[in-house]
Amino acid sequence: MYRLETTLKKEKIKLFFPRLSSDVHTISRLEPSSCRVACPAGIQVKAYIGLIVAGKFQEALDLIKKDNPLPGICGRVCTHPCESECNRRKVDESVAICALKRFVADWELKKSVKRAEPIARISDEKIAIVGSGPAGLTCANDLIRLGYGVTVFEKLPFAGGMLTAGIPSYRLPREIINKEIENITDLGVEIRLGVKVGKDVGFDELMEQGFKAFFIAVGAHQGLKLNVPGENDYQGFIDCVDFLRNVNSGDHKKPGRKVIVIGGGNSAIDASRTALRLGCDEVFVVYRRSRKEMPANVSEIEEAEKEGVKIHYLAAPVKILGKKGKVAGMECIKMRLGEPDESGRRKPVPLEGSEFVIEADVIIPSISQKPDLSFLPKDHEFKLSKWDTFEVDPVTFATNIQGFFAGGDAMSGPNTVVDAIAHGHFVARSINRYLKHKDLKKITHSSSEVREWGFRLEIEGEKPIERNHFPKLSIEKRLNSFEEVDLCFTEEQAIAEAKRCLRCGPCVECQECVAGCSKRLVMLSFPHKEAQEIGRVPEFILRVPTDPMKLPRDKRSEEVVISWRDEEEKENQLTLALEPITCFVDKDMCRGCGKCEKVCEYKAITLKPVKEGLVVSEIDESICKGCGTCVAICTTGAIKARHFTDKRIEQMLESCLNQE
Amino acid sequence: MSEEKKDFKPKVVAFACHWCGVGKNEINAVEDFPDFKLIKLMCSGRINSALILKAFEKGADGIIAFGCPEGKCHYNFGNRNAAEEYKIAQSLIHLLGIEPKRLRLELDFFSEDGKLDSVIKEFVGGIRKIGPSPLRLINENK
Repeated sequence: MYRLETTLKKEKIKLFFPRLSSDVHTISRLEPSSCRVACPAGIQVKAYIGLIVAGKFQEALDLIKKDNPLPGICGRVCTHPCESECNRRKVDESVAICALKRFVADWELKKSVKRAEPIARISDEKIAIVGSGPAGLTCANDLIRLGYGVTVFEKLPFAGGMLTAGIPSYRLPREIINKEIENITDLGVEIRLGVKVGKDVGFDELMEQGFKAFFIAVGAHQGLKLNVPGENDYQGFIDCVDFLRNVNSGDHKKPGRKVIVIGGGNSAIDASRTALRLGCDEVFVVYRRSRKEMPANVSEIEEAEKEGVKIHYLAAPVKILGKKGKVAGMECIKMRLGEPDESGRRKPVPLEGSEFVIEADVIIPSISQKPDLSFLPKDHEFKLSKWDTFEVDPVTFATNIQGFFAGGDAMSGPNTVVDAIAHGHFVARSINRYLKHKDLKKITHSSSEVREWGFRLEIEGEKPIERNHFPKLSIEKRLNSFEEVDLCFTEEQAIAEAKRCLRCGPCVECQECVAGCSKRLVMLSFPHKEAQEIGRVPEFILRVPTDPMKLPRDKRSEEVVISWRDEEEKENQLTLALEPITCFVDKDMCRGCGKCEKVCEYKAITLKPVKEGLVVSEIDESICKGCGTCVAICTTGAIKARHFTDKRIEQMLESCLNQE
Repeated sequence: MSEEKKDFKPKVVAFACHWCGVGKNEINAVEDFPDFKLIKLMCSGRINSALILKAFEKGADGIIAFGCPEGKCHYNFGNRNAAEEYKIAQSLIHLLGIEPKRLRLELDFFSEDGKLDSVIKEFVGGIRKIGPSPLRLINENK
């Protein structure tokens, strides 16, 4: 204890009590859950499932929208890599994560929601995004929130890219796409439909108009050729993408009587189910590997088979048969699976003498797609791969031409929606850094690194609970219409399904405690700067200061009454206000060097931007323990500790020296 | 020794680092030496020449600063700062005509019994011999 008489007789001053013991409880999560790590877009899966259990659907949706601006779309067509990594699979089946996401997205649709206000433009720079698919839309959403001007150019008369042109409406109703695109345009994004960049408006012209950065997200809309004899000789070939685009634009003409779809991806299954709905008598799918290797979603294959699609596994086209210039059928050969190839899948090997013929009048090849690069000028200098996709830096997504970025299917070749969303996020981050003239290479993220982190839970004594299945439209109703097949969970079903989540790790990271505490006692922070750099897979620490002294300044008033007898044996009393030692920043003196931020053991110091180009360190006094290291390291003397300011020390000096 | 000097009660200010052990012994030290005024700081690095001059200006006869030994500072470099500032202050007070003996920096741990007492006894004894600070005399004559 401080010697009271010496300093306090002269004047009443506040006493301080150094507190250096730990008074912060941390709720620490060492690793992010495996579902979040598996998601290319890094959605906080466990957190929103936790919120659904609590019935907080709006909060769950808000949390999803932080990482994924298209929850309704992803909730329907996502390939859900999160479910494959779910730790519940060790007990029974994975949690229906995708369907739960769809549930909250649909829940919002049912009630009237206030439309979002346009976001205020902060910077003058404009960005052009070529292609309005999931990658382009996500990037536009991210950039408009950073205050840039964003214009999206779309060749087709409707927005959505492959979402609208490629995915049939029985899987993804058009209202959902329109609604989610509307949510993005409401923020101020301009979408120019029917404008083909390169033809209608050149890149040079756009640069003159003031566009500083370009994101090429044109997707992969050109089907690959089969390379079998007879392919170019007969009528009756429709490329899968063209077929789906025509149907999705409203052309519901029957393509033919008997249809063969070649391929095993989701678009092949989409084409076959669409053909059935248009009234074709028989639809075959020919795939060269077995069902296990088929890239399409399992549930899609099951539904297609239920609807009547006949799938020939382990079969490959050999020759197209024709009659009078029209397709009459296709000769196929049986295959067996050999050794695994570079992609890890077993390579199909033809079985000699097992040829068979399927009769058909329409053949829809759906083997793979490549980007349609007709929009580029002939003498362009973009570096392209041998599949006509853009070659980019794997971390920054920058092409070889400065200011041009590429992502989505145009960069990776045909891929999933959620990967495109992830690309959109990465490109938005790169464009932001590019326009701020920061080093692009400083982004230290590589997705493969992050994916290895996943949290593995030890399963012990978990009881299996049966997975909830959402209801489906009856087969009869399906075949005559393009009505949505998968129906939504009911509220009770959703909560029951969410309860199956094992909540790997101690905390679900829903951050509701932070939002809910009115006294600001719970804080969320990154324990490591690196985690923040990596971006969307951070670690969490929740700090719960329990010490009343650490309350916000206006709330902490602890008074102590001290009494003593003076020399004349008279009783003296003094009321003291106790105040902990904390450090504070003189904002006018701070030049934002960041030394204090590095040195602070308790992560109480953060650098906050005040205006363009100027950062100032800020000390969270409820975390600060007043150790004084930052005071010592501060080169400008901007940081001072309470009770140790020059004025206070002078007061102390004066009071002890003038005393007789 | 003159009459005046026998009555002389030196005003000694001590700046103490929170970590070097002076903080723990402070009550003892102060009670044994009533002339001794202790000002506790978090680190000896907080001391600067301006502060030392201020203390002399306000009438201190001697100033002693305590800090942790070389390389043992709680904040890594606080006592190094203190040593530098001490050097500057030494030359400054020399210019002002104040004896260098009136300023002292002790970088050591003081948790052992009697260690602090002996240091203080020695220092205060020294000040007693020299007499009041010239600055204090000027102030009092005014």
